[in-house]
Amino acid sequence: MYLQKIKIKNFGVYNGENFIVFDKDNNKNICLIDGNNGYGKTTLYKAIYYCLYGVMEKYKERMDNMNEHALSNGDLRTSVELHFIHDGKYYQITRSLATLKYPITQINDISEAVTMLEDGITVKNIDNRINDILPREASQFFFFDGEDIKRYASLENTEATREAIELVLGIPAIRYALQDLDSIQKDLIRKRRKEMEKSKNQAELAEREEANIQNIKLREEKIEEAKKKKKKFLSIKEELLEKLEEQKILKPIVEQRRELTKRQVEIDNKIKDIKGEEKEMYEKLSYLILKPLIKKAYKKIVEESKAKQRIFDEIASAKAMIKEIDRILRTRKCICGDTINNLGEKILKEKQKTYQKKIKESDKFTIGDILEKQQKLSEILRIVDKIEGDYKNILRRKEELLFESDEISSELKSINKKLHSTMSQEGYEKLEEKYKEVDLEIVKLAQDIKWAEEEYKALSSEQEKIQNEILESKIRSPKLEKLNKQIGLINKSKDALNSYLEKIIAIKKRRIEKEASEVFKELTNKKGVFVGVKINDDYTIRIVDKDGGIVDTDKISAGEKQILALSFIAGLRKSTDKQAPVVMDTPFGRLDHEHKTNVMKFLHRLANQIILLATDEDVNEDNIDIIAPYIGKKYEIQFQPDKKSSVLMEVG
Amino acid sequence: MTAEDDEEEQKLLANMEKEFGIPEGFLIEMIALEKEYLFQLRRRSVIKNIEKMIAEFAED
Repeated sequence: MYLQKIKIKNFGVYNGENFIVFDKDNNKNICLIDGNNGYGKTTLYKAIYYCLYGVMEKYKERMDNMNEHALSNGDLRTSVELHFIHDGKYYQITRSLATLKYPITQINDISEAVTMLEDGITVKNIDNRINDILPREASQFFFFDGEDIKRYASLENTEATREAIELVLGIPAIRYALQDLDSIQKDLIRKRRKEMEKSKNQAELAEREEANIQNIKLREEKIEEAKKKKKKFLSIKEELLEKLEEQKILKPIVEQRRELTKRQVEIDNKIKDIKGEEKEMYEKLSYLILKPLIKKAYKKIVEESKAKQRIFDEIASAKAMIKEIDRILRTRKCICGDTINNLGEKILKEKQKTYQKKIKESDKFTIGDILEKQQKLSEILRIVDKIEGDYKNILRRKEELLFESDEISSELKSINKKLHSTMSQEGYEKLEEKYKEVDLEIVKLAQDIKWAEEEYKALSSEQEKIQNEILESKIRSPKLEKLNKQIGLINKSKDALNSYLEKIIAIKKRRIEKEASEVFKELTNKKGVFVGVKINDDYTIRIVDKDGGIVDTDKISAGEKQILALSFIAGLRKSTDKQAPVVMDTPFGRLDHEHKTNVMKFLHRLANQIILLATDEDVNEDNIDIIAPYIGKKYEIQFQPDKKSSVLMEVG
Repeated sequence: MTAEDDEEEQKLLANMEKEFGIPEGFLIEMIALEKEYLFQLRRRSVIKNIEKMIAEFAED
């Protein structure tokens, strides 16, 4: 589908006839429609959708689509006309609303009409033809709001989204084929039973066959259901495991934090104790101030003591000398052996007198009090030294503890930063519990599947037996033979289609994954960290990081979700045979500058034809150069305040 | 979807026919028919066409 022209008349905010004519140059595939908020960009988007699918049931919606200014001036008709080429044919669809009176009071006042021309010939079944070209459910991947698409990057897809994705991928055709084969088979078996009822033996076989087929059907459903459940649980298990693994990696750090927190409490207590000790020391600190004085006094006492000791020694020496002189005088012999003469005797006696005088002078001399003072001062000095030592020790320990506390605090800060995303122990245990429950459920389901498959196998072998018996029965009427062949072909076709369905879904998912990964790598601003995307069984999409891990969707930003969804749409578009223009309203939503630039660079490759409904915030002189080479046509929506309406003007 | 992708899908379907002993072209024709009538509300006409195909191919 390649749009040629859009004509809108009195639709929504647009007054009169307005046209958009698209450029036919494939290299200039972007049509830029610029308009301020409230001027009618979304109305254009709605007009295209409305022209294709109608869907206006409610009075209010129909009424909203009719331009108020035109109605009040007597122009009671609203229409949207699309001209496009599809598969080499030229199409024109016109959908219009009309009323005979104004003001409109009820829904029946408005009538809707639609016409479709295919190469100038009227198409009868318009809805079917339009859905053939672009199914309504699939249009969401072609006409979308840039910000709104982030829902495709959510944790779960709705049933409707899953169905729409499969529709774009062409899967329903295979499912319908299986359903149709089932319905034809039932009919053929009924016919065969009627044939066989002609004989009692065959009637019994027919009954057995019918009952057996019913049982097989039940087992098939049971297996299918259990497999579906198992698949779902496996996917949940995988996600839980990823979360648990992530938490497990962080567990030693959590343990380290716990240890450090414990140590910090201990240190804090010790600091508290040491501060108490320090406080107690304050009373004794006055001694430290007196220490120089005490030391001085002690030094003086020691000197005094030494001086007295010298005197004491001199007295002892004098006493010894007196004793020696006594001996010499008694023996009259000198130490050298010479005899002492009178002069010598006189000198010795004089000397003895001097010594006796000295001893007499020192009669009052006592050293005991000095020693006592010295001892007391020494004791005081020892106590002061001890106080000083203790105080210094307290200060040193306090400093060491404060240093250690600082170290722990900074380590804890860094750990807490690392553990910013870590869940609590309770949360982790709950996760583990859930994982165990899911695992148990998977084991149970695997057992259920095994049993059902065993039953299925037994029933299939019974069915084969019945079929053989039927074949062996002697009737072999040509009609029965024919029916048997047809039923046989259906059986084989159903098995083949089931196998094909499984394989083709896997192939298509791989294709989406490949293309979406390429696009995502181009669009992301975390190149080198995010390396691709993964498509899950339910078509939900996840980011893969450089280590091969799946990034938690909860942890990515709205902008990242938007580019993830855009990558998915790009992947989906490459995997479908449905081709249509991309109409993007609010194309860059909440994208940051880098994401926006990346998307703008990629845009012209998203589809064969792109219609951008943008504000000057989205596209402006700072970034228009990126898409300028690809812009074929540029329109501006101009608002006319007097008519409270807008008009489209081609610019540039 | 590229021509190569389409060819890969057709080849896979043809392989299924071979693997399950189904007459050549039956599944391919049936899927093409289903695709053609995907948005037709009258499913009965699709079923009638498939019934005809079954009758023809079963005789092969």
